[in-house]
Amino acid sequence: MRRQRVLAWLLSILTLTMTVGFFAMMTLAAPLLSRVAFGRSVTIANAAALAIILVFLASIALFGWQAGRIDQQLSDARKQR
Amino acid sequence: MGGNPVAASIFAAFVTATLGITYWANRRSAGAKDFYAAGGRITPRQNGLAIAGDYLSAASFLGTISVFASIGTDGLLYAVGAVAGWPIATFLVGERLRNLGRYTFSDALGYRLAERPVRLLAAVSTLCITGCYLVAQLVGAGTLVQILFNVPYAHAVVLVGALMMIYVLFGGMVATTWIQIVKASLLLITSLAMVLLVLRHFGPSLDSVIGGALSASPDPSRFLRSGQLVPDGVSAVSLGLAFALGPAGLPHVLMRFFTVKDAQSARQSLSYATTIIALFQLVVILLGYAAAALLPTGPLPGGHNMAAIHLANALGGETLLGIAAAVTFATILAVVSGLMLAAASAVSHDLYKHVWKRGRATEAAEIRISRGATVLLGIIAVYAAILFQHENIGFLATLPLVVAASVNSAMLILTMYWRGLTTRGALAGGVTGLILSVGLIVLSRGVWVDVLGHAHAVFPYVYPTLFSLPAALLVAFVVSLTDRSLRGRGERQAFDAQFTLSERGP
Repeated sequence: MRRQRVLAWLLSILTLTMTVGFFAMMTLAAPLLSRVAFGRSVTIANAAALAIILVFLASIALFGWQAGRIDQQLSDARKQR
Repeated sequence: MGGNPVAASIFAAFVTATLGITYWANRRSAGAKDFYAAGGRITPRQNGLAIAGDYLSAASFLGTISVFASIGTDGLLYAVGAVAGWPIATFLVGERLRNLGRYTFSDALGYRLAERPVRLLAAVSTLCITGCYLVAQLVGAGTLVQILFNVPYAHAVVLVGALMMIYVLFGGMVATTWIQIVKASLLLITSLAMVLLVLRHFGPSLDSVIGGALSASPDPSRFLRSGQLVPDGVSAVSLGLAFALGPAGLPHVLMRFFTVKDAQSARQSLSYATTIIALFQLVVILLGYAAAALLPTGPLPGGHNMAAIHLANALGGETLLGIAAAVTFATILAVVSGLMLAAASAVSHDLYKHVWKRGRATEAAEIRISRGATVLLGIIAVYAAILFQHENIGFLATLPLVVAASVNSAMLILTMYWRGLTTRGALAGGVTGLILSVGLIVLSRGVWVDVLGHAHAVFPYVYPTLFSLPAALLVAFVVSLTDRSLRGRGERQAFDAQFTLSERGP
């Protein structure tokens, strides 16, 4: 449970930092963001937004996997009792 | 656009189906658990869809696409922001709230803190959040129906308000959950159909869609440049905080954690909801750039907020326009029902049962009060929506997330994770967060200048979360740490039992 709690806080801080950082960069119009990253028109801002959303999805998958393992361990422990 | 027969028939079919759902829900709802929590019988997948439906309001669909179409790259802020709060709600709040609560989030706040004052605070913030959301959604619904069907604005608002009251009065949580599921499915199917048409038009590449938007823009470098939506860094950080921490404090969403059988199911629901919301935002980014590429650059009929509807017209003609418009309307109808249920529950479960009757009210009386509150709050919301028809209601859509982050999320997370929190600290922090978030928004340009007509704003930023949230946390910390009362000591001692219950369940 402690491992799940630590993971929850780490991922939450990561989520919060990425969101606030992205908002600040976009609003301050960092010139880097409007540079083309892929193809002819996909800018770094677009790539960053897509990457952040994918990181959110990956973090949910990681947390779900970890929590699922703990659920299984608790369930096994209950059965043994 | 007036009198679109496809929109009218889909709208009529949706209303008929939802009234049928309400009738079915009414027959299978018996007590308070059914009314507030759908008897805990909703599966994680269904609940995930319903949570996503609650959050994917018309603002997500119409608002984000309109920002892409009218401003450009800044639409990415709304797309990323709309997803940001869900991982945090999943990691820190979902399972624990399900284990500690029964019907509303204030059940968890009242577990070790003094019930009456914290429930009073929670009810006030719930009414503040849901009230603002309700009026904003009703104004949007009235405008949409007025444009679509040539119905007078006031009639449209009364119609939406009446349907909302019927769903909640007779169907409770069972009906609102299934209406959300139907609506979320319709919204996802419609937007996916639009994506397929966009890809057929531009080819299977985001690069070509953005390239099309740049070619259509009169000033491509301005289109790509961010920083036009939010004017300064302080407001940007405040908006980011509201998006990231607001969803974990939205009362109508938190209520849904109790509609599943256990904490594990609540976590799974949130995982499904986050995945759906994230994928939907990826779709919205593509549709936003497509709208910028395909729609004329000048003013659009009905305003820029109708960009998604005009995009549907450009992609699939009158038929797709009708479908998109009817689905948008269904979205508003479903969201206002969920909001109304949360508001009525705050009145009946928190204010009536626990604050006024000190927990001694019967289930029947509680549900009766909830139904009375639905009618009363519904009438007030409809009246307010008619009054606000010509006002700039942008602030009404942002206030809920700011209040939810500054009051509900802050106090919930402190209660669950910090042993030192006492009732005095929670109240002082919550009241500080509430007064600062509401007060500073009133003093900002959006209300003080645009609505109240003053020459200059007293608060120079657009969003106040950067001030209201830290102030709420700081006051809660200081007051709790200096609380030497006997009750405070008992509340700290009760933390261990609450913590174990929140992790392992009953």
